[in-house]
Amino acid sequence: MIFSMKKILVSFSLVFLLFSCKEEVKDKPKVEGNKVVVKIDFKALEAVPNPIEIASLMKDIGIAYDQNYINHVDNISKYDTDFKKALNLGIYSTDLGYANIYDQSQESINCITAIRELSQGLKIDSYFDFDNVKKAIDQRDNPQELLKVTLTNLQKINEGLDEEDRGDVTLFIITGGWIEALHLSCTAAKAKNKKELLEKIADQKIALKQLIDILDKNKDKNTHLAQLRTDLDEIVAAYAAVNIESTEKIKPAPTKQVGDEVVIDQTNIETKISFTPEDLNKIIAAVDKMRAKIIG
Amino acid sequence: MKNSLKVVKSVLVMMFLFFTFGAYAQCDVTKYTDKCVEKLKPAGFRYLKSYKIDTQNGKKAVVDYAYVLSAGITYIITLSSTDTKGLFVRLLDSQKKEIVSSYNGSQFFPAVQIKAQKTGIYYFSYAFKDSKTHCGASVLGLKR
Repeated sequence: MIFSMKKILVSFSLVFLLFSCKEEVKDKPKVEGNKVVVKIDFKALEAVPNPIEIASLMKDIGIAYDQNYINHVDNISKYDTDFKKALNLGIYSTDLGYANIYDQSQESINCITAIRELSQGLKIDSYFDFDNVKKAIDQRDNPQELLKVTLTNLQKINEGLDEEDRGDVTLFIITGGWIEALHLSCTAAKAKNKKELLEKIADQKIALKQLIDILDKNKDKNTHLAQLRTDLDEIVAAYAAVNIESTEKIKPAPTKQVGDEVVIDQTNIETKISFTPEDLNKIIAAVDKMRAKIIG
Repeated sequence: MKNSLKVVKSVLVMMFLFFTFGAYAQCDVTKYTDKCVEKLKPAGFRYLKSYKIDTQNGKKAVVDYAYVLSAGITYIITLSSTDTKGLFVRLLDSQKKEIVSSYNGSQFFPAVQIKAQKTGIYYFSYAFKDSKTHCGASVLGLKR
């Protein structure tokens, strides 16, 4: 009797161990040393607009691709701290999205090389399936797939960092990506005066507020977060006079059924943007300065 | 002694079943995400972001996400899960007031489009209604 009970217990233990192991995330990176964990409201971070929106708009309004807009891959050797690596991982991620949208295979590969190296340095490379992204680049006939694979992998990096309580790194990546998107749109706006692009730049005041709110809540958690918050002050000041005002009529927005979709058009909302050429120049100067500090 | 052995055996069997089927009940959204992405291209939308809808076997009533939508852009939120019915999304404005839902009380729609005229934070609140499924995906796409 005792023998059979022992057998049952041993079997159970083995089954338990087997499934306990299955629950482990494969190849989950380990954080070395005694780093302080930084838990940041991931849902708030996820709400920050994806930089691909700006690249997408640039292509749609007929702005040509310019490889001089993006960060050069040779700069990687300069990024010797986790802070710089994370910010520039964000920069290259936006550049990758920009190159993807414009079907620039070689530039995309260069950006992936940079992302791989930086993510290895940050020990988060296991979250990014580089082979899969390269495969998608080779299948040039399906740009939607490439965009999906790239953005999904970048999303996985952020989710992985959230699980590891390295929210500060996620925040650096997202801020770097946002700065680069703003740099792309400002540089394009300098060359070509397009109303849609100017509105998009003005609109970034909302995204900036989102980032500032998150940084203000977390700036005391480490010196880099505090530094990043201070560095954004000039951009905040440059946006001070930009005003976006939306008026909502009492009547709700009309919804209709189109095929198997529900469609809502916010025609009940009128948005007015106050944005002068002086505001634009101030924003361009502040963004250029901050980006130069990040990539330099 | 015989009774206690029976109890131990029952407990072990129950735990075995729990761990075995618990492991299979994990929410893998890959195929649902792919289905959501498939719906983007015909309507001219570009992929922007994907969301995992996992109510953890019904423990959570809703799964919430947020995103800053931009004025002048048309967004689409596509949905997919095992059941064609059951999963729905409520789109809320920055004041958390409902703007639109993919469930109108009798019909579930697999996608919602919004022509945004106000830049700001919006909330996507996902839930399952009258469904045994607790796992699905949603994709956000955009076009001008």
